[in-house]
Order: sequence, then structure tokens, then C-alpha cells
Amino acid sequence: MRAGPAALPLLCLSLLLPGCQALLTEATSTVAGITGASVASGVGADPAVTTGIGLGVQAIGRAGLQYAQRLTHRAGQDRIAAAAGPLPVGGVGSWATDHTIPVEPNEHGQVAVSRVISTGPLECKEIVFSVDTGHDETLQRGFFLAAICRNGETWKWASAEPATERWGSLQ
Amino acid sequence: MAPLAGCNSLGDILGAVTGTAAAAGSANPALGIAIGVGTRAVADYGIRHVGRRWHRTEQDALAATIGTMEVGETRPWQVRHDLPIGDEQGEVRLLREIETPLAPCREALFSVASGKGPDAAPRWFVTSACRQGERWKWAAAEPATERWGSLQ
Repeated sequence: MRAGPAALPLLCLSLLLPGCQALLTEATSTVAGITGASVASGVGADPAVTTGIGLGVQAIGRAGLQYAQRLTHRAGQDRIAAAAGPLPVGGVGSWATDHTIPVEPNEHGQVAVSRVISTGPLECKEIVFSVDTGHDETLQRGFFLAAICRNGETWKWASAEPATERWGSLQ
Repeated sequence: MAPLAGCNSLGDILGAVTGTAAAAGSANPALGIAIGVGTRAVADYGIRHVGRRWHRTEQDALAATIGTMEVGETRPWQVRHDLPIGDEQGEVRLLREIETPLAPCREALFSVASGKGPDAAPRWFVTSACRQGERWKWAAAEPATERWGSLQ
């Protein structure tokens, strides 16, 4: 099975659609799986082994993309936390992301501290942040609530995952 | 949403069926895979879009209720979807108002009744809502990436 001709259009498509998560996931992991399988069958492995290798490589490909997505999202959370950390209650700051590789699109908005959750050795704050799209007449703002805690010198996102009963389609 | 938990596999099934048909028709397995992959990506996106809209309906119903309450008040809430599955109801209790320079927000507790009848034990969860223009919307942000685990 030749992977070259089929892989190229998939790769090109994945680069053109940074926000299309479904296609990005598909292209990365399946191309990795196809390439892995074609190498295996070229070496003379039997079909069952080739399939196993293809699926294994596909899983690694998908895990690689998920890792990249997590890193990208963490960068965004760190930006918001860093902008909000030094603010007093009622203070407003701005935040923006600037991803080198646009696995997720760049976003920007404002952030404000609504209250101090705890002080002393464990410093945590409750924040409200906006995600702004468009400007002037077309400006749309979404508002969200989160928590940040100070970890040494840096402020980090502290909101925990939802209860598993509420995961629904998240998984 | 539990009865529809298998919906996430629909994309895989659709991709496999389409890919197989394409491969059989063209005798080119790579073409079959490419078409199957494309179909699965589109189907996955479509199914996730439907799932997200499903949950948005529920979140909007709760947020709208939260927006009209007084602190300390408890009220029933319910959501009815187009298809008669996954309809939920329970109670909402407004905990506090959060004044911020950006938008007015509120923190509330909500319960989802599991099962029917007087023995149905409700499960309680905490959430928040903020006002965007004229409407109240769900405001709970995503967890820290360190807690994503199996969520991805």
C-alpha cells in the first residue's frame, strides 16, 4: 500500500484548517498509521502484524496531537492567569494568546479578579475573563468564571474537571 | 445523555462504511482510506456539533433560570429536547451574586434528578452564569490542562 499520494492531500488540508479539530485529529493519526503500516508491509510483515503496527502508530499519532493541543491550551490558560494574578479585587487586565503553531486559533479578551478565595501560604483568586471576537459593531464577548492559584512566582489555572456525571459528550 | 453515549462511535462506523464502498468501487485502498477518513472527520464534527448543541440547550435553560432568581431562592428547572430522550429536571439554588467590572455573574447550585418517583436521589453540582447582553449564559470555564486526563 503506497502512503505517499494519499498522505499529501491530507497533510495539506490539515495545515489549512487550524480550527477544525476533527480533521486535524483524523489526518495526523491516520497518516501516521498509514505510513507506519506501509513501512511494515514493505518490510514483509504479515497483514495482521501490519494492521497492529498501523493501529499502534495511529494511537501514538493521536496521542502526539493531543499533547500538542494540551500544550497550546495550557499556554492560553497561563496567559490569562498571569494577567489576572497581580490584579487586586476589582482590577481589570488584558490577555491575548499568540500561538506559534495554530493548533487552536489565537484569542484575546479581558480578565478581572472578582474575589480572593484564600490567602497565606495558599493564595487563590476567583477570576472572570472575557473572550472577545470581532470589534466595534460586531463585537461579541463571552464571559467565563475560573480560579487561579499562585504556584511559587507564577499563577496557574486552578479550576478542576467537572464531575464525571456531567462529562456527557466531553469524552 | 446516557442512552446516546454510543453516538461518538457513529463517526467511525460511517467512515468505515463509506471507505469500504469507495475502495471496492475504485480498487484503490489508499483512495478508500482517504475518503473514509474524510467522511469520519466530517461525521465526527457533525456529531460533536449535535452533542454540543444538546448540552447548550440544557445550559441555557439553567442559566436563564439563574438570571431571574434572588439570592437564597430555590426553584425547579427542566429541559425538554426535540427528541424525547435525555430530558432532565431538578432544582436550582442561587448562592451569590458576583459583581465584576466586566459583567454581572452569579454562582448557583443545581440538582439533576436521577430516576423518577419520590426515591429519586438528586445529585448537586455548582456552576456559574454571566450576563452577556440580554441573556444569561453558562460561565464555568474549562479545567486546568493538568486535569484533562481522559477528557481529551
